[in-house]
Amino acid sequence: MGLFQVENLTYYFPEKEAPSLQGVSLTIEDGEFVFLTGHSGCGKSSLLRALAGLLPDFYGGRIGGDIRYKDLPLTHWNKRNLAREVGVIFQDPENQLVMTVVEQEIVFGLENLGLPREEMRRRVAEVLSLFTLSSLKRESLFNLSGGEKQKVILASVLAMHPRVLLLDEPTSQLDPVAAQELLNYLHRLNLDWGMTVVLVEQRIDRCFHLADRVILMEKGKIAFEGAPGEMVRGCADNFSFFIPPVAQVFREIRNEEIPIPLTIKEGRGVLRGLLASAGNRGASPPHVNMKNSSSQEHLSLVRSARQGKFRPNISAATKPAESPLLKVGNLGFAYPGNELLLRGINLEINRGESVAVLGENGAGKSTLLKLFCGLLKPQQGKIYWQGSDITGQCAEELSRMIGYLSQNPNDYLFNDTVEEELGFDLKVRGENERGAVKRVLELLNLSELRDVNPRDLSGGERQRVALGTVLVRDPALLLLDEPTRGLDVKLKHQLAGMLKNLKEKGKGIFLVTHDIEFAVEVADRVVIISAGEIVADGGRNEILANSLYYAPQVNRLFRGVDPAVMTVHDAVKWLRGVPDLQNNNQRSKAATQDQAATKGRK
Amino acid sequence: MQSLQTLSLCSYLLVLFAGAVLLTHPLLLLVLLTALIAALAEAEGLKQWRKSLKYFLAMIMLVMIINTLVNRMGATVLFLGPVLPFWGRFAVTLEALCFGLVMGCRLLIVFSAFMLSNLVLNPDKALFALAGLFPRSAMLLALTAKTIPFLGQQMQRAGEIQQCRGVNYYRGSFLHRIKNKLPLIKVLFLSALEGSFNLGESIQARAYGSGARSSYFHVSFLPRDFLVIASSLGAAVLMLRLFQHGEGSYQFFPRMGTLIISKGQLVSAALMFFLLLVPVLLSRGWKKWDYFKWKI
Repeated sequence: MGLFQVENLTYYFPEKEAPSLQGVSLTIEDGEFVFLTGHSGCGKSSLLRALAGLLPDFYGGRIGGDIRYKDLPLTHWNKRNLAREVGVIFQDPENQLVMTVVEQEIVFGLENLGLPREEMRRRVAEVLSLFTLSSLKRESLFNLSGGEKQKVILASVLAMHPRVLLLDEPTSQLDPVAAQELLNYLHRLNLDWGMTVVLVEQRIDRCFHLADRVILMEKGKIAFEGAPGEMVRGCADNFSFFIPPVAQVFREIRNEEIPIPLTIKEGRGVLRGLLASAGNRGASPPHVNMKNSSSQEHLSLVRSARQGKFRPNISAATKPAESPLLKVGNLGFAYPGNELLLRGINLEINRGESVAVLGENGAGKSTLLKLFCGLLKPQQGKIYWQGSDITGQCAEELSRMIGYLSQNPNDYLFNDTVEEELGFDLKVRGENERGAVKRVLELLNLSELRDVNPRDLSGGERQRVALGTVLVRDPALLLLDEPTRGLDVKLKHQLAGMLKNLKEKGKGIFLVTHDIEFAVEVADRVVIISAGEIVADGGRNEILANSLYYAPQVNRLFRGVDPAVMTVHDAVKWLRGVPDLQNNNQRSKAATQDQAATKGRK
Repeated sequence: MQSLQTLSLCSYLLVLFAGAVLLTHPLLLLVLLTALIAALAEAEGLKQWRKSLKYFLAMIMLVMIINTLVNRMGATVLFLGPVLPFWGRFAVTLEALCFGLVMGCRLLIVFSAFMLSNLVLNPDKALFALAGLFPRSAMLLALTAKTIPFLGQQMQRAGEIQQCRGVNYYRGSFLHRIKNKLPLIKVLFLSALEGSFNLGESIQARAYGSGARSSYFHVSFLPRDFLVIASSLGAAVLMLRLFQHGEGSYQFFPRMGTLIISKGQLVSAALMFFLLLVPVLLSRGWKKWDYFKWKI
């Protein structure tokens, strides 16, 4: 008997003709770690809400089927008892915080359960230490970073000692380090406390291997359900986006003799085996570059930056002949009453160049974008646009040349239709909007949604509309702050394609992201900001290869083998060049043909 | 002042609101307003209040203008205008003007009391204190208090986006600037509405309203709380007495009456002023003298 039993669950949001969940049946066992994945808007969040007993309470709509928890229909559960059993955490911590101080937020749920004071004190102390929040106990929630807020929410739910934890993209606002820390907590809770975890997450590479079972959803239905190992082998090709890059690499090879790994450790084992086998046959793998200089170069860059000797190192391939689009010299900025947040920033962004900025939460990345687009004025240094000083110019004046996309697409959306939303920017300037709007609608695949209210769209679609409001002005430089937030892996891939296309058309792209895989796919150059200073600036491979925190999964797989391999595409190309693998592939292909011929004769 | 218990602060704020509703006498309203300004200064909110004053004054002016144009009960005519269709002769009277001014002053007291409540009332403490008695109202109060600064942040963010889209809030006529700000209000409302679903879910998922709550924090009433409650009660009794004897209101129409009706009224006003200043004086003493701090 499973902990949760869902039978034929169907749910329609109010005034929607298509169901959000359609005939979903599944069982979740006690102590299981379930990873729920799929495209944006496929019904993952709806399923999570249904399991928490929140559908259709808040949104109305029609619901059918049955959800049982501990063999009792969810509707028969008393709210207090259900809250004791099932904890739920959503994507945006801002919209879940009820109180104003950390300790009081944690206590909120415990008081609601009517626990005695001594019990509450013990639980509060426990979760504060578990999440290293003790020093922030009396801190106002307004002063915390996104990551800290997310930890407070997790602590406040865990203090209630739920048996099941339902999480909807809890790491979407966290930098890679904080996200890994959060996932480690979840893993520990599952392993040590036997807590049942149902996790919806877009950072597939970081949590896929933690799961006992993966559920892949498509258009409100379960498209695949099984152990991670089965998923990497058995899911259809159009879902290969939803397996970790390391598994994608070996799946792409399509060699039945090679096992598909789930983790980097397993992947390195497989790779070692392949290389050893190629070595035994006397063949040398292609492009194998055991001389690994990148990490040394990276360290020397960091060192020179700290000594104030840093100069941007743009590779010869991307070095432009004309003056840079944007250039900043010795830029410094402090918010009123605070110390300098950014200091000594020297940067150049060129036409047709794409630069990714990485760094921990609160390092000053978003502030840097606001300085570039004129929303903030620097206290030190100068900003030049194609050689002309634009320091201190306001955002309205710069908006024609510099397009800025903030983290939250909702801040853009207030018009009644997508078309009006895109046309607004041109209307403000008194320009004819029709041609430009049509072009952007087509570019972003929004033509079919032109008459829809932007607020009725999914997160990924809203992000595209917000990007469209920027592109419609045709700015020469795009500043993008976390453009992949809320996007699934397939949409990220599409966005990367669009940005590459824009780059080829000569646009400069400067993007802040926590998504390393996306940065690798889009960027020519990578800048790392730490504590308000640029500690590294150089070619993508030069900076990311073998970086302890920022190396993409595929690069970590090839560490010590070939640091130039950064993406799934690179890795597949590299592996296909291994002679032994080529032979294996040919043998495998021949065997398949033989089997087909035998079947045909029969 | 922020260190006072929710009940003490609520009693003080309630008296201020009640005064603005019950009293129409300019002298008594002046007493209320002065005490309120002193309290705002003590709560370090005077700067913020001064910044908002221009909006308050604009609203007061609007009340005055509408009242002067509509009210035809006054006898001292300051300006006689043309005869208007369906309206008769247009006239501006001294009494209507003063009445409008006093109404505006009452409005200012209400706004300022709201501002003070926002500064001194800790929404978390308010929720702890009132959730047992009025769970829905307490939650509403806590969320409202939390939401105001949050909306402020959101407003700034949305404003920045509009600037980046080419909207200029600082140029053009007043009406043009107001029109430019309309999208901001829309963004704010839409986002707040969407966020409220998540917040509601989070509150339900953490069992709020599922039964009797327990309390994590000790609510300990100190002498200063009793003093504030007593002084607020005293001020409330005085207000009711003035109201009952007709000394809380002022005769505007058809001609303005005497400002000070009796000696008793003057003494009551002075006493009320002192009682309304008690929380301010206690707070000052609490900050200044350690001995006083330990004693109260």
